Amino acid sequence: MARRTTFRLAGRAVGAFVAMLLLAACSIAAALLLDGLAASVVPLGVAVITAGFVAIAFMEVRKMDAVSAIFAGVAVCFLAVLFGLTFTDELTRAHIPAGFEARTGD
Amino acid sequence: MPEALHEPFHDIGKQRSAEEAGIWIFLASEVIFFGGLFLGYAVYRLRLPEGYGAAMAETNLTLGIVNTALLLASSATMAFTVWVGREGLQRATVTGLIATLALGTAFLAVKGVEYYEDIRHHLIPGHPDFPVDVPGAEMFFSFYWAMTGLHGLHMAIGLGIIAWTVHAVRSDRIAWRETAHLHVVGLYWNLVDVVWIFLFPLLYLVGR
Repeated sequence: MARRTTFRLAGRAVGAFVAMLLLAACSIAAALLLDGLAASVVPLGVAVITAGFVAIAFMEVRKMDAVSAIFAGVAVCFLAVLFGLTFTDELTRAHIPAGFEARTGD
Repeated sequence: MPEALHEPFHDIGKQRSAEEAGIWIFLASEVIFFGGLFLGYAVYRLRLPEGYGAAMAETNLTLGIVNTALLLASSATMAFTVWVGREGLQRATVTGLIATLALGTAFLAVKGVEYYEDIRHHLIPGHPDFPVDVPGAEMFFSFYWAMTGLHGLHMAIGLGIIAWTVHAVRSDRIAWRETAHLHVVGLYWNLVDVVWIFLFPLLYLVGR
């Protein structure tokens, strides 16, 4: 019985590993074969999918209790705020007009 | 057999829940910690895309792929350990932990080889013979060393915890069947894996 359980669970782990390996292969192929924006977006998209797979299959986030879920959710929210505020500034900041540096140097 | 239940808990379920909440608080702080590094990387990548692309061509893709495979395998063996641990299978649990230990150690060994190659090629920011003369290339390698170094440090700490857990499970030093110990170790190890899942495309693939 113990032996059968071990093999069943080992099979599950091997299946998950193969799935993640295939995702990594997709990521590498996309980065090397695609051009332009797709060569960046696809590998990062695959990384998000792989991380989600690890979170669900291995970290068992769907089974976590409410308190743990709040802590995990707060981390994701803070991360979103960190990136959101930084890129809101970074992508919308007006560039210093030409000649501005010369004027300030007077 | 060691006592599973500890003060102030009177219920093993509540104790397990508290153990898991504790590691999630820690993991949340780790997400913010690594998030800051990823953010810095992203901002400078946006400003200096040519330098980042030129610098990335210097990283060793083959060793990056090998390390990705090793770490994904270690994540699977760690998950296997948690699953068989729940079934109370001591031998399989120890086997899973040792496999994780071996794969994690192999990861660090490959990383060591890669670092040796990087140093040999003077891929160190500020080095007078730094080989890439494009603005932003040294910034890329600043993040490369910081991010992979801190990831490696987390790996080394994880390996230490796993090595101790092998001893503790084998000798029944802790109540590993009843408590959340294995799940807590697994959560830490899998987060370290998730960090690498994002580091790999950012340092070896995107813009190559």
